[in-house]
Amino acid sequence: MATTTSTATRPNQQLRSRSRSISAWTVLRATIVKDLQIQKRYLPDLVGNIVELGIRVLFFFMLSGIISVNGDKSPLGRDLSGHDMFVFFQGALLLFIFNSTALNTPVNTITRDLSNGTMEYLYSNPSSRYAYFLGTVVAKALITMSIFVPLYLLLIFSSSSSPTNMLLVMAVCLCALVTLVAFGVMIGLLGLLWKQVGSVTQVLGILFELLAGAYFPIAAFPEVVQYLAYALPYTWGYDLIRYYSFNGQWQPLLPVWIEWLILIGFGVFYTLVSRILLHKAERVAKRKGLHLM
Amino acid sequence: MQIYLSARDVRKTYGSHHALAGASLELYEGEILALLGPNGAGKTTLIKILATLLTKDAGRIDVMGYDLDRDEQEIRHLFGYVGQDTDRSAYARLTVVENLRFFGALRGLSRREIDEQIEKLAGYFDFGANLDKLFMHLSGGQKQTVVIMRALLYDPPLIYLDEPTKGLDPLIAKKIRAFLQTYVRDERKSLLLTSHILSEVDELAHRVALIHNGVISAAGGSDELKAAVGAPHLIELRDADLPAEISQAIQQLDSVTGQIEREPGWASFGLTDPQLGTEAVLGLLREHQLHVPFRLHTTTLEDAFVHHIGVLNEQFEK
Repeated sequence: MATTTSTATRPNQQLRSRSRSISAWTVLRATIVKDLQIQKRYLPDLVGNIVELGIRVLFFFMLSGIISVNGDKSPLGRDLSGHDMFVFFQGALLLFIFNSTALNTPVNTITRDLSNGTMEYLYSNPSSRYAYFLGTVVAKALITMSIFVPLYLLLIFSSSSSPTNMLLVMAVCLCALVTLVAFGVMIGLLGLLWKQVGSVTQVLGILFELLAGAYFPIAAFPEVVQYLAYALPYTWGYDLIRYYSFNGQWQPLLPVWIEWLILIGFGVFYTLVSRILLHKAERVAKRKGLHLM
Repeated sequence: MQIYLSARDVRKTYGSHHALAGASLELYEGEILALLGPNGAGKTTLIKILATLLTKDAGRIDVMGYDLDRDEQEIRHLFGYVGQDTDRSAYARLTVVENLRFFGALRGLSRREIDEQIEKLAGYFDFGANLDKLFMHLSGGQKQTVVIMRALLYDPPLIYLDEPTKGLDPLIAKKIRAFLQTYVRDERKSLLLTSHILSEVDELAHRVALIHNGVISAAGGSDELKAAVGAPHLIELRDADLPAEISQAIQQLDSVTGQIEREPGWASFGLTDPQLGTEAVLGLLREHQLHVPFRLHTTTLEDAFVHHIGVLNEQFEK
């Protein structure tokens, strides 16, 4: 080999690679485009989701005709039954459809990337991994919007709420979605550290569905369960949606402005935690190898 | 000639297992360096540390003037990495072009730059007809080609390949080897690769680094490593038919360097010159009217590898 050598120096322009640092936005955009391209080839999934939603709506429509909540347990100040019950259920469905966005998509993405080896590529590249994970969740949220929109229109037609309140319902949904996206990234990152995160998400899914007041008013729960429900972001999302869907007749758990603050607070909290968790997960994964090995 | 990559005393432990126990190597400008070692020797751990996928416990790594501990992000711009098991390492339901556009975008390349690079690399591999196929519909060799294209998309000066032809049929493996040789030469790149295929290493690498028990135990040109075995050319006589006194006499010949242990059942003698040595040995056998089956052998990298590992194992046991 060479008889004379010199130690490594910074590469000159000719030798420098074309790789450049890019903003998190660029990574986010590229990831969303990539995931939408993939989803385009899974159209039967989307059709299946729409059919499933239709069946759910029909089920809750029938259920609202046969069950009711007594006036003393109903935040509406009157018996919650019939048409009111259907509007109540629709409020739950509006957020519930994003359940898989928050819980399953990030974990599935990480599991798939780990087993496929794409994770290795992402981890040896200088672009933002946080933006990548966020992008996969945002893409899923965008896809879910295709079933959110008809559901939202159904609520507009079946609720007697004012246009302003219906816009506020949309605002609550978007705010809750941001919170859920951050929550989802946080859960997904745990998948870098523990393979068993999938079972945790199943438990969380049940909690979100049953404990956060999707099907029954929180006021109807035992007091201890009510406190547990307060710890879930869905609880505040459901409550605010119902407050606006019933044109302010729904008695919220806390003053509305406080519920907004809690919902936004959850979003900020989960975003911060997920960012910290990403650094920690990467550090541990790179030290121990874990799945990345 | 410049050192592009320098690793000094790199150590990595998983629990009580020392994957790397002070590995050191250098990779020069325009060089193909092969990392060779038995399973579990630490090849993949070292290449993953260089690719910033694992952190080292100790040691120092400099890449083109950047310190891996301090400048990890800058270093990530400088290398292209292809890991093992590339069969599923891109998005199955995206086409080759869609995959490369996504990965190129993560490297900050514009759509125009990406498409230019795809065209150039597809030209090297004669891969144009596959660009619009879904990744899931490609053969193993085609998938490997895509993953190599991805690693080269942004023109990195350093390329790390972990067993790049593993599991591929000989024709595709040959095509990839030919490409790598041409690409490194024409584009002035430096390539570090691991491989179990010794003939591939012999064909491709300018230098070979032998890694064993987490330490680089020998490094040099393929010929240098072969020379350490004793002789580049051997004449091998069937042991059972060779009397001990003749064996002694052969070793006294001027054109014979000595006896080497290579394969049970055969007495191997190093030759200073293959033609003169062979004539001298066969002449001696004729003199004694002996008919001993023989064969000629040119020392291969495999011989050097087995020799080195054998010596190291002996040292380790002592």
